[in-house]
Amino acid sequence: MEDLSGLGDDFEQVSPDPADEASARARLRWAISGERRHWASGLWVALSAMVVVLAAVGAVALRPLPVEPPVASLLQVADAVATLPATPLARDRYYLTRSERLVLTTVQAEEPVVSFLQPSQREVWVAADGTTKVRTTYGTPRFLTAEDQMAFELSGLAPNHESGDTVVQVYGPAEYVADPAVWPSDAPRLQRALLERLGPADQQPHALQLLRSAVELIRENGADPSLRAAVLRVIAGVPGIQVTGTSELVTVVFDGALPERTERRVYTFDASTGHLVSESVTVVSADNPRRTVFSSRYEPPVQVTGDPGRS
Amino acid sequence: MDSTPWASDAEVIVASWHDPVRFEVVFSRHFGTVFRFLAGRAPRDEAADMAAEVFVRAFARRRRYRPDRPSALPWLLGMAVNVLREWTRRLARADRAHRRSSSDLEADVDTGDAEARMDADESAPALRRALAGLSLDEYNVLVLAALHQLTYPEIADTLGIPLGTVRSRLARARRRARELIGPDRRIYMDG
Repeated sequence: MEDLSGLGDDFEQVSPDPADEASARARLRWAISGERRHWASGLWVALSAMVVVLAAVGAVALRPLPVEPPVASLLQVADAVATLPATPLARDRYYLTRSERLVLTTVQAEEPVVSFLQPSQREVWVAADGTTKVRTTYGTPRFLTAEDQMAFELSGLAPNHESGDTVVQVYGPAEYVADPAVWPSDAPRLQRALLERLGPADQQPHALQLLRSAVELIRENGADPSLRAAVLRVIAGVPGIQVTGTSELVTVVFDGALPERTERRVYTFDASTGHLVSESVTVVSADNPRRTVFSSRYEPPVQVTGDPGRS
Repeated sequence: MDSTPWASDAEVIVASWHDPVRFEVVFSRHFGTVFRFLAGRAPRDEAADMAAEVFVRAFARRRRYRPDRPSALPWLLGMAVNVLREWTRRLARADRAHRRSSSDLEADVDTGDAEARMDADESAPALRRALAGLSLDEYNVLVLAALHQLTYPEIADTLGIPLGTVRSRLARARRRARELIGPDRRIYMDG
């Protein structure tokens, strides 16, 4: 092993310009689409011949070719988001993100195990220096079955948070907001930084850890467009994801096999801004009833003024 | 979903044989590194063009990728070395043509002049400027070993040269780098 003193630092400073990277990516995409066009035209000849044969026997059934592979649509969203201007916060302003969430809580009241879904509303204020205040107001628990509700009430247990409870949490700078010194907005470097921090894979697959930690960087924190774009690019590289989308929303689905269950995570992003719009976790193991254990729906972050403590 | 926790480059490339767009994942992982390698010898705009060329070539040749090599970086850097070599030759030809067209009709101009000129950016850090004084072959082995941490066999494979040549060229490159860097900035090596 050898090291040229300072060489690594010197080279790290030489990062490709985003415009250069976008241009290079466009050249690669052109090459990819060229192969697809070539493949598609070859296929078209073959299909045409097949159509003639099938028509002769009176059975013609062709499906249109997919226009774009799914991951490409996510990368296109990332490219569009990367061009959005950053809107830095003034000192007296905050990014406010409102959300509604539903969390499945399972308690064992002797027998049987009882589950209920508890809704909550969250408001997250992020200040210019990154300090964050999170206010959560809990709603009335919803039991999955009448038997669950009966068992729960007979047990004398109470939910951790009664309906109407409000909890306020405060986080320091870079605790809730991604620290740019740690999480760069250059996708390859961001991916490396995330991969370096993955935990053991025996409890949670690395792909799932990568997906979760990437989403965390842009959830409810008014992250800059450059970071949102980088996160979407990292997500596009996570093996096993499925992507579907419309012109307004793009959805990433991932089925993760954990030691005790298989779960499906679904993340939906705004296709024009890259903001996280909703997310959910559903247990899909064969030996479990199909249950969504967590879901959240986010409003787009807005800039507000005023003290979040009294807002 | 495959059983590998994190898909290697090889797995991504093999997947791209049938799903070409997957190859963009390789681009996302390694574009910065390939660019940095090239930018050590060429101006930024040229380096960006060459890096793009590397990935277009890599995409075209992806079916020849050996799946037993998990990381695609040596393969990509090997292509970057070739692209850089071609660019250097073009630059040298242009340099010769320029000199011939001037009043001083010198016959043959060493390609080293062109190589040195292309990195004469005064704003570049001192160490990189010194590395620009190495020959292209010396630069390649030294940067692949020191910056990209490739093993000797990987360097041999990347550059298409025997293992013994890697060792001798690396020794020469280190010696030359020490001379070029001078007493102000030291070069540390323990390998």
